[in-house]
Parts: sequence; structure tokens; C-alpha cells
Amino acid sequence: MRPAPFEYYAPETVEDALRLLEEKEGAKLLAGGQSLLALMKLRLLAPSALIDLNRINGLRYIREEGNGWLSIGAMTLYDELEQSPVVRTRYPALREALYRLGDQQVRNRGTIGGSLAHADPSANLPPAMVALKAQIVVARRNGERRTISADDFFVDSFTTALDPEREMLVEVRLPPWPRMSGGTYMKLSKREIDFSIVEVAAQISVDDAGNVREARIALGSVAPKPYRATGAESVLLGSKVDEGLAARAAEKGVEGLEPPSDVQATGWYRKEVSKVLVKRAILKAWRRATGVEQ
Amino acid sequence: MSEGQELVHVRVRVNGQPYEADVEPRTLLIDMLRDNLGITGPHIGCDTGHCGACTVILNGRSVKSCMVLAVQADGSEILTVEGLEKDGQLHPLQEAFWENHALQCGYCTPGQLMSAYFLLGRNPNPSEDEIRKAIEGNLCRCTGYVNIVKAIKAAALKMSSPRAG
Amino acid sequence: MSKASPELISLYTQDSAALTLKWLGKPLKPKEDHRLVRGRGAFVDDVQLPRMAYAAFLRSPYGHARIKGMDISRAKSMPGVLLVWTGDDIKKRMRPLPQATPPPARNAIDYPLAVDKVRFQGEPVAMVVAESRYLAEDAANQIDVDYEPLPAVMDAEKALEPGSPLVHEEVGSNMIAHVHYKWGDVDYYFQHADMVVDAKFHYHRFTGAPIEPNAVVADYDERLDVMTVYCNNQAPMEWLPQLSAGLNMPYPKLRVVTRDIGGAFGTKLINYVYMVLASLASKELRRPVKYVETRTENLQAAAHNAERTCYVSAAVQRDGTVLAIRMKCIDDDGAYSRHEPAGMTVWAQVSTGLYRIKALENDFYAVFTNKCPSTSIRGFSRAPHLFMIERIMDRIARKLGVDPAEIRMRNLVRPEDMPYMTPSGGLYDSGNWPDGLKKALEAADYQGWRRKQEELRRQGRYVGIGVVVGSDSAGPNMAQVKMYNPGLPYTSGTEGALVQMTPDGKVRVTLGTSPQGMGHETTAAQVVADVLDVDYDDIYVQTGFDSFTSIYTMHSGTYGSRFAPLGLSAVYLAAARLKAKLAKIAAYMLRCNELDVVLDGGKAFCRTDPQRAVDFKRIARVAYGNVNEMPPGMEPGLYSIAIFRPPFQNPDENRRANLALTYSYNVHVVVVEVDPETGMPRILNYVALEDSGRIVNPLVVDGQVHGAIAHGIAEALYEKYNYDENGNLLNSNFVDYLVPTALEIPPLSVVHTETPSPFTPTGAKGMGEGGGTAVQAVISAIEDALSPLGAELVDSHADPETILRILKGSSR
Repeated sequence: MRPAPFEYYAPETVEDALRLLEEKEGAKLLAGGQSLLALMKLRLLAPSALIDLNRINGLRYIREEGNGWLSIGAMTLYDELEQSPVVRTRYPALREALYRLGDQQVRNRGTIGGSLAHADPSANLPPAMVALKAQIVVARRNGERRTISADDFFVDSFTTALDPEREMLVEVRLPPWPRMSGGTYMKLSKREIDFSIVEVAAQISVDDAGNVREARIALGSVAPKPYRATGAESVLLGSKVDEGLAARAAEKGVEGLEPPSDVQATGWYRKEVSKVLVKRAILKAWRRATGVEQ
Repeated sequence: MSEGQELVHVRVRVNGQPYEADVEPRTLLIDMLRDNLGITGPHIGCDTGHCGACTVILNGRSVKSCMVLAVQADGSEILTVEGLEKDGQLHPLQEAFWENHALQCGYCTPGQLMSAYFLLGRNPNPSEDEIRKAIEGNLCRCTGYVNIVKAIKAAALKMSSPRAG
Repeated sequence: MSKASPELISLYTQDSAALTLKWLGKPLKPKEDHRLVRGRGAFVDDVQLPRMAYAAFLRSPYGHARIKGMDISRAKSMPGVLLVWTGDDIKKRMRPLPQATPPPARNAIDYPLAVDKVRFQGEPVAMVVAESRYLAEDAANQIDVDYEPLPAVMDAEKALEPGSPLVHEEVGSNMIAHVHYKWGDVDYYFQHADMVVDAKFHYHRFTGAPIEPNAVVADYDERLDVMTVYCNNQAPMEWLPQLSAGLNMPYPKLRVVTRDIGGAFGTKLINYVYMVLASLASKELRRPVKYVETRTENLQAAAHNAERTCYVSAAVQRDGTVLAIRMKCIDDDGAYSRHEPAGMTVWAQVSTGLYRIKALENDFYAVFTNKCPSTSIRGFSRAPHLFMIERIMDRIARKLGVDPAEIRMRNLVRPEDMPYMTPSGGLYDSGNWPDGLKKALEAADYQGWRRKQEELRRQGRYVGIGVVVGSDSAGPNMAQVKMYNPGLPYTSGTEGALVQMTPDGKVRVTLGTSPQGMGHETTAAQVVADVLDVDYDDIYVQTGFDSFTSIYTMHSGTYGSRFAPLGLSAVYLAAARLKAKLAKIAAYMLRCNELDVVLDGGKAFCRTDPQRAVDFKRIARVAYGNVNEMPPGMEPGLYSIAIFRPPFQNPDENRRANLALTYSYNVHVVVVEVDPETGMPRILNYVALEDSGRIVNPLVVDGQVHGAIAHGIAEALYEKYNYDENGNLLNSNFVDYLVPTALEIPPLSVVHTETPSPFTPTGAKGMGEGGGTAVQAVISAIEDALSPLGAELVDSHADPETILRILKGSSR
């Protein structure tokens, strides 16, 4: 119920945080703590040191850039993002993923950077990031930065492309999507607050004729990292979406999937429900892209 | 604050009063409140951050104080259930919970009240669905939530109507 | 069976002449709520004592294993660690916990810390006491145990097969007890019935999971040689023998205290093991010792309900009349029979359900397995039994092509037969059950929903309606334990109360119960107010139980929905006696005939001359101080003690007995839709009718109904324990043991009828557990939703995958 002892540091700059991360062996970065502290309280994790990022100024912001990109500071709270008018208007898939994440208290503490760096295979945000073509900005010592696409960022279960001792996530960037685009996030779970049994984020853009120009569909909780349903995406390209096409796309999209079984659901159930959720998400994203639905 | 020391000195303002304590970095905020500061309104009901019985308002946001380290709250303003009443007058939420019997054993109640307080602070006229969503992080085993939802609605109505006299 | 004899009815009937009905039935603001909404509850973990130390436990990771060795040296040497005990240390200090079972199960050795063997995952193996919670946990993690894993016994039916591994070698088998019940001419009815309907049903494993876990503070005062135990046990006096024996201290030196308890739902009866351990430690250290369970410990090791598997056979007539029932039931009681096997008798309170079934046979087995010990989770033993009965009723309805509400209507006990005696000797006190069913169906717009169901089915939607009846048999007769162990000297069901008018004219009440949110302070005050016609606000009810000030018997406590029938009856009696004394003194002071004295609004006046009045405050001053003004020879003071004793009997040679004092009634009508593509269920409408006799406080009653329904919905759809074949509990924290939030429990509609019980002076019936009706109703509704596919649900838990497999036509 209570964590094992650790050393505690609360640096005030990214540089100091990275220096400490390098120096202190066994140290972990502490952002919102809603995942990390939970693991530490159950003593499933016992880092020798925690480097608290909450005292660093300049990592909490939501900024519309001139080029249409949306820049989000890594320490921005789930709630700040969920309440943000620009997120609600431009990225409903992200907003829905946030709305259905945890509960209000978790959303008041948890951060986007913490979630992505933690890379829980059942977390809501990673599939949304993949569907939206997010870019993740990573900091190294001495002001160095590199950008990793969401597709490449999530490597395995609880494993990202970050060097855990030398890098930290500082920003998430969302590209502008065309006017005729729409997205959604859907989740199936027994209780609303639970991690999903299956989750899907879908983002679709259509051309002037109403045909699908681009589709990105990512599933969570079915694989160690977000699963791009490229099979589904290719079925949709160039066509108008109806119930039948969406169903076919969903069928194709989950063909290769072998979801895990755990105490919440079997692999069989996950696969069956994946088809359903992908179909429904495609239809909703389509309706939003074509302006039929808000 | 500390740089890897054994004990850290934490200063907070709780319900408008200043408090301080020497705690370990690993001391949870809920434990500092209850054991060090004697503020026993917030309760502990689980070990995975689900039950919400420990919910307090930290710098204006409802949080589970079992999922925050005490040291992280250094310099913060905290509101607990004990801080809702003013000069012996119950807060409209407390009145509404009492009138509508929105509690039975009372153990989850402090957390429910703080979540409701946060909700009404940002949404003074919530729908039933919005109320249920707002307390999804506060488990109750006694009431089936029926009267809790009723009470929050009643409090919202009272708090948003013009005062008489 | 039939209407009870006039002699028996007369024996049970209570007088309620002292009620004025001015305060009963009113939705007065509950007294407890005021301090609780202010965060001023007094829960066990709020107890802070000087020099208090903290306990933590090391627990078995295995479901079944031998303890080959233990190394506590590292833990013992850690700074701040005061004490490290293992089972061997406990063995030196106390005898094993006494067993309620007959031999050979009586041979089972049960210590609060495992000795030689661990028998369920989470069983405490060592106890650490240290200066802080954190240090205690650190030290517990530094203890090394060498385990030799053993094959685990995880299936109760398989546990009875020869060759099964044994949970308790010293018992020689895994059988805790076996009782074969037979009432009425079962064989005759089965031979002559038009048809026999068979089914096998399974009631799953779950728990109550109150938000407050088990906790105790034991404080040994060596100056006064008194052990004070602050606990949240539902019936602390029931365990006093264990505490007394373990500490070698007589009862007058043991002060057991409960104050506010954060819910219990049956899980806080067998936490006496922690009371014993903390007390032993406190006596050893001469310091207060606090233990607060973590949620994981609570879910793993506190208390589960017993799973029950029943093979059910019903002898049925063509017109739907159920003549007789045969059952074979197996209760999976877990590793220790600490409260069990009471479950193998308690069901008999409602042996034939709510129906005029003439005969019943039940071959009942209670079995040890390597799971957490079971105890009386909300609805104990009656809920699984009523599940079996209600499910077979649904099956019969389906087989005969009769509406499920109609099949129940045809079989319900009729009002003209009340008070009704069942084949097992149960005495149903009152109720118009057919009328209640009719009212419930109207309130739920049952016909409207059936029409809607047809329409929705045409649209390809799967909507189902469950109509289920239930009863909360309340105020148990503990002689039920004699049904499996005739030698146990524990019978009846009684409760005590003190009603005192203090010298200032206020009223002080103490109870023998240990409430966990049921509003005892409120309802007790209302009964006293009603009897004495004193203002509710001038009545002060002691919070919780204190063995130094409460009036108790060995039954005292809050379980089995017993407060209304037993506790409030004691309060009534005590208040009525006080009323009589006040009247006598007033008569003397007013020089008025005692029969002409009227007590009204806190004063007494003479009916023949109303101007002559004396207020209670003055009477109190006389009774306590100005004693020479009292009637000659009358004892001073205004204390009134009463212990309510129902006319309970022991079971006869055929195990027939009335095992509960009152029987409430409820009808649940639930509409559920399942998503045909995902199997996810959703409750569309929930209406419950509740009749728990005279309502003392409608807020309290409705609250209990809501809570019982929420537990039932939770059990049917969300909460289910899963053990693997090695005894690992796969969901032992709130991540994976799913307690519903406000988004899962739908709005609930409750309507009432009030049929007072003739067997309690207040007319109130016990009702908090509800009989588990919600579980039946939800499962029934889901089965109805899937009925076009011919689905038959046999479990008390329905998860989306099971539903989806039915929809897709594939079985597991």
C-alpha cells in the first residue's frame, strides 16, 4: 500500500532533470504519478530515486502554431487538454480518448507526456496519437531535441523509443488535418473507468468528391503497442463509406490480430469486439469527416 | 525542499490554516494529512487509486491524495471536507447530502463531496449524466449513488438560485 | 404448508400499544449524517493514541503450501520494528480458534497466523509491529519464507472425490458438514406430478468490499488491566470467547468498542482474527497496536461469500403449480470454517421461497477448498437459495409457455394464509404478496414493456424483462446452527437496549448493535420519540457498541438484517417501560390516577385536569435527586433496560424450526438490453417494490433498497472472483475486481407497500440485505433477452463474452 523508500529530486529545468536522470541509477521520472505511484504503492516497482518534473516551468501549454500544428507541452494535464476548445474542435478523437480516461481526479493530475512515455498497451492516448499522426519531441542534454513519429515512438509493452536514461519527452505535436476530416475514439470496457478491453482511434479525411483520401485506424489493448489496422485503411481508400464497406474494412483490419487473454477478457472476445469497434469507429469518423455529424 | 534527503519539510495550507510536517519523500499526501496533521476527514479505501475516498482539492483541482506524494504538495492550498463548512454553517452540498440521505456509512462521503464541489465549481448546472461522470472516481457501496446524484442536483439548484432575503 | 396455528401466532404476536405513531414513518434527517457530511466520522483508523504502533502482515502467495521454514531475522533487526511473530509464536500464546463444526471437521486447526501450512492465497503468515505503517510494511517484505507448494483444491465438487488433496489433513476429508433435509412428502409429489423440471445452477463468488477495510486498534492499559479493542466488527460479542481465551482475560476486563463503521455487508464478522492478534501484540508491547487492512488484503483474505452449486428438481403440475423441490447443494466455504458452515442452514429460513410449495428436500454439503474463508456476505445463504428457486421458476415458466410473472402469481403464498408456516417450520409473518406483485408490475409498466419488447425484437434488438420476487428473512434464530451441530450451545436471536432519561430530561439510548450506515441512531431515536412523544432532537443514541456501556447478549450485532426486528424491538420495550415509570411518577406528582396520565410533547398531564402538568425534566430531577418526592418504595433513576426475546425454538428432530423473525417482501422488474455485436448488457429500467413492514424512516429504508440493488447489479454484471487452478486469485485489487461506479448503476425506482409485522412491536421488518433479488432479476432479464436463441443462463454472473457466445451460437 505504501511505496518503498526512494530519493526525491524536484529539478526546475529540463537540463537538470536530464542530468539527474543520467546520474542517478535506477531513477524514474515522475510526471502525474497516476500510473507510476500506483505501481510503486503495490511495490511492483521500486525505483531508487524519483525525479519530479512538476516544478519545471514551461512544459504545460497548448499552442496553435502558425503552420497549423498544435504544440502540447509534455506536462499538460489530461483535463487541460480535454477542456481545451481547440482540442475539442480540431481533434475530437483525442478529446474522446481523454474524456474516457480514468476519472476526473486522474485527469486533474495525469499528463500527456507521462502517459505516452509509460506506453501502457491499454492506455487511451497512444492509439489516438497514432491515428492523428502525432509527432513526439524528445529532449537530450545540452538542448538537443529529436522528433519521433507516433508510429515509431511505441516500441513494445511499456517500452518506447526513448532512451530511458538519457531522454525525456517534452512536447507532443499534432499536425493539421484537412477541413473535411473527422475522427473518433471508442472504447469497450466493463466499467467506464476501466482500461479498455478493446479501443480504437480512427481519423479519416475525404476529398471534394467525398471519397476517403486518408484513413488512420489504430487499436489499443490488443497488442503490446498500438496496432495500426492498415488492412482496414486500404479497404477504405478512394471509396465512400457505408455500413457494408466499414464492416469489410474492419474484418480485413483485424485479420492478423492475435489479442491476449487476461482476467478481463479472452483473446477471442477481444478479436470479435475489435471488428465491431473498428467498424463503428470508421462510420463515425466518416460521418464527421463528411459533415453529417458533429 | 530536498535534494535526496531522508526527511523533507513540507508546508501546506489546509482549509485556510498553515501546517507543516517533516515527512519522508515517499509519504503519501493522505498519510500526511491524516497521521501528521490530524485531518481525518479524507479516508483511505483502497491501494490502487480507484475508490476516491481520499479526494481533496489541491490548488483548485480535485485529486486523490493517495496518488500524490506529500512533498509534491509543498506550498499548496488544500481543501478537505472539513473546510466546506464556514462558521458552523454547512456548505449547500453538505446540507443537500444530509437532506437527501446521500450517505449511509459515510466513509466515501468526504471524497464524494469534494468531487461534487469541483464539479459545481466548473459546471453550476450539471445534468444527471454529467453528475454521474463527475463522480465516476468515487466508489460507494451503500447508496447505489441514487441519493448522491439527487443531492448534487439539489445543491446545484440551491447554489445557482438567487438568495432570498 | 399452510396458515400457522392460532397458538403459534398468538405466541409470536407483539403488542404495540405504546406507539403514538407521531414520529414513525417520517423522513427525519438522519442523526449520523450530520457528523459524517462534515468529515467528523469516528472510524477505527481515526483513532490516534499516544505511543501507538502499527501492524502489517506477510501473506502467503500460494493457495496451498507447506511452510518449510521462515527467516525473520532481517525484519526483526530493522530499526523501528518492535515485534515479529509467526504462527509458531501464536501457537505458544493461544489455543486454536474453536470450530463450530461437528467432528471430524472440528479437528481442523485454525490459528490467526498460519502454522505449518498455508491454505489460501493471502493467508497471514507473519505479523510485524513497528513504529510506523511504512516501516511495518518494509519489514514484512524482509521476511523470507520457504514454501513447498501443494496441489490446490479449487473445485468444491471435486474436493469430495476420493483422492483429492486435503485442505486439512487432520480432518481426513474436505467435508465440513453434510446435512440431508427432508420436509413434507417429497417422494409422493415427485411420483404424482405432471412433470419434473431439472436444472443445475451456480452462484458465484464475490464479496461485499465496503470502502472501509478491516481495522482494529487494541490498547492494553496495564494500570487498569483492561484491554480496549476499537474495531469495526459487526458482532464483536459473538467473538468474545475467542478474544477472552486468546488473551486469558475475563469478559469484564475486555472493552470492545465500535463507533462509525464504513460499511460491512457481512465482511466484518470474521475479522476477529485481527482483533485477537492486535490484542496479543498490545499486551506484549504494552502499547496500542493499530492494524488497517489494505484493499488487496481485504479482497484476498477478508471474507468471500460461499459459492453454491445446486442441482434442482421441481415437481410441477400442468397448471404451473410447484408441488415440491429436490435439491443437492454444495457450498464452497474456503479454507477455514470461521463463520461457516452456517450457510448450510440459513437458507432454510426461506426453504420454499415465497411459494406454497408443499415439500422440500435438500442434500447439502459444505466443503473446504483453498480459497478465502467464506462468511455471511449480504444476503447470506438466502440469496443463493432464492436464486435457485427463482431460476427454476423461470425455467418452469418457459417450459409451460407461461409468463414468468404469472407463474409466480400462481404459486405465491396468499394473504389469507398469513402468518404462513412452511414445510421447514418457517413462519412467514405477514404480507400480501400477490397484490405486491401486481402493484410492482403496474409501477414498472410491465405490459407496456412487453409490447415494447416485441417491437424492439422485430427491429433485431435483444431486450429482456426479469420479474423476480424475494424476501429478506430477518432477525435470525441462531439455533439454526444446531441443524449441523446439535451440540452447539448457541440459540435464539436477541438484542438489548438501554433507554435512559438523564437528569436534564434528555434521553440517552445505547444499543447492542454495531451499525455500518443503517441509521440505527436515527431509527432508534424515532422509536423512542414515538413511544415517549419526546422531540427527536432531544434523544441521543450512543454511536455504535461499547461492551462497557451497551446492553448486550451473545447475539448482539448488526448482521442478518436483525436491527429492525430485534434491536428496535428492544428499544421499544425499554422505551415502553420507561414510559410506564414516567407515568407512575407523574401520577404521584400530579396526584392523578395513573390511568388518566397522558404523556405528550415532553410532559405529562392529567387527562381530567390538563392544566396540571409536569415536564419530563422535573420528573427526572425528582427521580435522580429529589428522591423523597418519588412514590414510596419506587426505585430512583430513569433507567430502562430491555432485552427482546422472540419465542424462538430449537429445531425439532426433523430439523424444523422458524429461523427468522420477520420476512420482508420485494419484487424487482428489470429491463435489460444486450448489444448483439458485443454482448454488453445495459439496464434500461429498474423498478422495485419493497414491503418491509412499518417504515420507521423512509430515507433509511429507501437507502437500503438502493444499496441492495446496487450490490445485486454489481454481482450479476461486474463482480466475480476468479481463481486459477493453483489457487491464485486473479482479481485481488480494485483494478480487476470491478466495483460499479455511478455510471454503471442506473437510476432506480422504488415503490412501497407497508404490511406491518405482527411479530415486532414496531411492526417493522428487517430489510437491509434484500434477499439478493437484484441478482436474480438481472440474470432473469438477460436470459429473457436471449430467449429467442433458446439461451439458458445457469450462473449468477453474466459477462459480455458469455452473452456474445450465446448470440453467436458458440459455447465455451
